[in-house]
Amino acid sequence: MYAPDRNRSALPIVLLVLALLALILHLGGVLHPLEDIAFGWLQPLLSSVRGLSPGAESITGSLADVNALREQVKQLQNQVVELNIARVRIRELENENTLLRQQLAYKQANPDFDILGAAVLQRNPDLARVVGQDPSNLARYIIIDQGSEEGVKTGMPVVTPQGLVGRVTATGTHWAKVLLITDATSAVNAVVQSTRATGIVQGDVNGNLTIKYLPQGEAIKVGDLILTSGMGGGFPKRLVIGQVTSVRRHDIELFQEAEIQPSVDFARLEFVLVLKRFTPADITQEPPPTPTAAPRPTRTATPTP
Amino acid sequence: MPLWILVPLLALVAMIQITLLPPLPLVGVKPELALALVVTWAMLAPMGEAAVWGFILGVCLDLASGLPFGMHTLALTLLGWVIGWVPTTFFRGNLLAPPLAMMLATLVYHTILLGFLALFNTPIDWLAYLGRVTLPTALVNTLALPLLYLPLLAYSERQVAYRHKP
Repeated sequence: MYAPDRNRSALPIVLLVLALLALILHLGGVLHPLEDIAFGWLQPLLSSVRGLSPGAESITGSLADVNALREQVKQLQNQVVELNIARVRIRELENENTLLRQQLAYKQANPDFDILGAAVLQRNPDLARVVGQDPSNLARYIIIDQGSEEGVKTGMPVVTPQGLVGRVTATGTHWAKVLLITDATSAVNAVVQSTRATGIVQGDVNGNLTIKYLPQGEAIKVGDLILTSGMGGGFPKRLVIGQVTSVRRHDIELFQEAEIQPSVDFARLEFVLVLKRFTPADITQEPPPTPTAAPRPTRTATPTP
Repeated sequence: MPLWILVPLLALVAMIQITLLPPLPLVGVKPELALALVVTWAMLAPMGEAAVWGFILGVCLDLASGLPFGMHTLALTLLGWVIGWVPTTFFRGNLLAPPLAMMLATLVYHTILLGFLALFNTPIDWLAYLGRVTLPTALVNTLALPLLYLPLLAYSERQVAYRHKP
């Protein structure tokens, strides 16, 4: 550290050139094996340091009563989450029931057609532990401890029982980086459960979620559940994204937007599931959109003679 | 400080930032410990040393970051080097200089990272990022300054005394 002056003045320039070279090599994909090895060394340390966080938090919680109340609140929150999940499942089963009845009616109306039922989603999740988060405030990523050796590939969706977390963007041997849906560069095709209106859920710089490009005529309200639509094939259908907390609608605009409270608590992610296999939604099997605008005027059955 | 002590120590600082630091309530951003450390050391140490710290911390952050590898390394090394040009007496003799330098450094750091992202065709809402992320981060980093400045000042003075020991 106490090199002669001429060496010390050249060292920062050398380091800057090395950093620039690393960036260029990374973009060319050349650096990936080295990154993989280096992160392989770092990962056990990350897991150990992250394991300190429950201990660090308990130091600040001083009273036994406060801890007991916290535990009770946590239990109640878990119950609420379970009930919400059950409610979503029931609604989706009802929707699926309606859809299947419509398809059956279509099949009966067209007996000479050879129709194949749409495949049900297949999931083969692996449990992955969150070992870190993006160090910058500019991006929202997490790092998990499952990688290519465990069958994880770039593009795979990542979920928890509460809902959608994000998508794998980079993998190593035993690690992967996941772009959260709350990142400003993330976009997910979504559908409003009650109206079946489709839109795109995007994150913003503060990690908030908004569903955009909802047609003006759709009756979106606070409390509506937002699910993945499966369009584009990037995510399976019917994964919970969150719930509408406010709606922004201006008559002069083509589309309306809604703020969403994510169903997943991104600040407390510990374990996630990687969906290694699912059947992309077949949009040709989708029913026509159900009208949700104001009721249409009805005609009288027969004219009076 | 020999490299075999410095590298693990800085790696530990990076790991704390990656794993333990949560976003602070009200502002919704977490302190950028690595940046704060590099800037503080650049204000106190001989020219070039903070660039080395920036390089080591940058590599550790890049390994865990979803951004392209090299961005944190480049930005932290550059900041450590440039701030190191300013004589340390300027910062030691002026109470306002360190916090202003920290705020400016945070702005430059985020601008470099966002600039690279924009260069790689990522759409960037500059006003939103700078107003809602960079500004709160700059405030939080400046609040962390007293926690870093005093211990590092004591360390740098001990280094100077050791160097001039007969």
